[in-house]
Amino acid sequence: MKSIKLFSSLVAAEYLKTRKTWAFWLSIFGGLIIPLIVFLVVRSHPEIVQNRMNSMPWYMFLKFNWQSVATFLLPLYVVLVTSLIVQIEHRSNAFKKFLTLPHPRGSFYLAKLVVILYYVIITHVIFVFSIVVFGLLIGNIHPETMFLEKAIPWEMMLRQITKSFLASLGIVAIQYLLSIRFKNFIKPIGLGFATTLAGSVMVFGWEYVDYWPWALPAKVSPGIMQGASSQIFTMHEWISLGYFGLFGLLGILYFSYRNIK
Amino acid sequence: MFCIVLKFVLCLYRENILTMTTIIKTNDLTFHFHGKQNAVNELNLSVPEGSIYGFLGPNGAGKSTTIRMLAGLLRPASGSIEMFDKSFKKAKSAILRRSAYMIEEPTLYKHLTGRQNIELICKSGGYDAKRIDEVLDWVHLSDDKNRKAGNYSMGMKQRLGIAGALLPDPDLFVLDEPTNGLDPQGMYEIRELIVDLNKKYGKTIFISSHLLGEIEKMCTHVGIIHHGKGIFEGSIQELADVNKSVKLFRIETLQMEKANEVLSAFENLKKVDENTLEVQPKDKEQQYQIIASLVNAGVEFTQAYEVKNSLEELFIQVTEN
Repeated sequence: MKSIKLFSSLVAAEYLKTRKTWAFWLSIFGGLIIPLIVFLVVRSHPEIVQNRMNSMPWYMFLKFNWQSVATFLLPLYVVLVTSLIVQIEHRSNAFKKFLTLPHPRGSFYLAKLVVILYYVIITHVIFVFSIVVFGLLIGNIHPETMFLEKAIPWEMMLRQITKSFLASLGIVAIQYLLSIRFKNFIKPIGLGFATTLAGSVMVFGWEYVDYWPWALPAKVSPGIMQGASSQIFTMHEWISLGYFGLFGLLGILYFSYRNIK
Repeated sequence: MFCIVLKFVLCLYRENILTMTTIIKTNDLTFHFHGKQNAVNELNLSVPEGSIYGFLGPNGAGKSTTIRMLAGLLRPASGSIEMFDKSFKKAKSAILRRSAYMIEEPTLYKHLTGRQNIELICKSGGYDAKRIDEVLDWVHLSDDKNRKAGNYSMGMKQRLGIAGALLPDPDLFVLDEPTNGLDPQGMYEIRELIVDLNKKYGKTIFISSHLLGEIEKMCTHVGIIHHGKGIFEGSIQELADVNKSVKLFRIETLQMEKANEVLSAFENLKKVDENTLEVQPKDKEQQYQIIASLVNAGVEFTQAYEVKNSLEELFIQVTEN
């Protein structure tokens, strides 16, 4: 019980460090920006969310939004936010101080991981809520799009962000380890950028793309029109979780045994 | 009679002879960075309880490396560390609970206020939140606690670092170059804090510096390290004694070779420059003999003088060899 309390205060401290930093603002605006752009597009061309045979404005709107983020922006956001959060420690010479506090080193690793995951979740949640808000706005501006009449597909969106979040976990663990390893944050970000870019090309037909962690968010998101492949755990989520477990473990071991200069 | 005995015991007590417990003890501590020669080479330290221990050495002597090993940040290649009579390897977290560290520049989140910085350490360490304002008051930062730490002056940053170290109320402080980069006023403030901690609260303080003057002003014990090797350890008094014992005597002569021949019988004869010789006489008697033998041999010398060896010179001398 005591250790749970201590761990939660560690997490609180880690969270406090990130407040009002780049990582913080990136997470908030990262979730807003794409729905805003898609909103502006749909506002001037409402016909693209209207289907002549079957009026499903929410699905179309969701689809546009997910398509815009899944292949490139979402993995890139995860790469950036992970590196930025770890960079706070490098920049403040902080490892040497916090690792002389009387806790196992792994607990610091986990506490920070919790904060990174928190931000990834927050962005997903903001993303979904801004989709809803902008959808309702369009419904007001262009009543013919039927946004107001049709029910908001909460359940599907929840399933969708859960899948997307799970698919991002592999990237989080790998980038976290890289960011700890390299003091210069250009290295993990550059690497993550390159691998994300490679992934966004691979989705067009490399046969092993399913095993490329940076391409996994892209692989789970297009299911939106098929009722978001009603299952939450498909092959891709499991692969992502596998990477998360593997690199998370490697990270803890590396963090616990490395020398700090 | 009883009074005299009591005085004697009290004197011993002050000198830490009766109560001499060692807080830090290292045995043949060695460390080398990957592929390089030993940064710390078979170092044996022993830091007595209640002392202000000055860990002295020129830049790059291995001070920081040693301190990082004492903090558990670096793993020794060989040798061992004992703190509070426990093996560091086995009882790491119990030891860390009783010690606080400030290593090189203080850890500082520039985007947070001074108080938030301390709050962080408090939360992470699981310490009593009541102490936050207490320690800020202690280092005279109460008035500036709500300013961003990034805007602090060098001295304030350093004091904030010390406040962070004070939080858990530890028995041992390990401070790595706490006065580095400060102006004389800032140095003075830090020194006052450190001496206060030691005198008022009986804390043991291990402090590293490359400035002998700093160490001289506040320390009770000194350890000198050079090229990763320990070359002197003892109380500040012992250091002063060493200082006395290596009194130097110089002779300025016009007949260098002849003088050199005559004085070859004396220990540690050294040429300083073209017409100056240096010897280390044991006492005044020997000093007289030196002069007498020069006079008897008819060596023309213009000056014979004692060189007062300050600690500074001693330090340079010890680290040169």
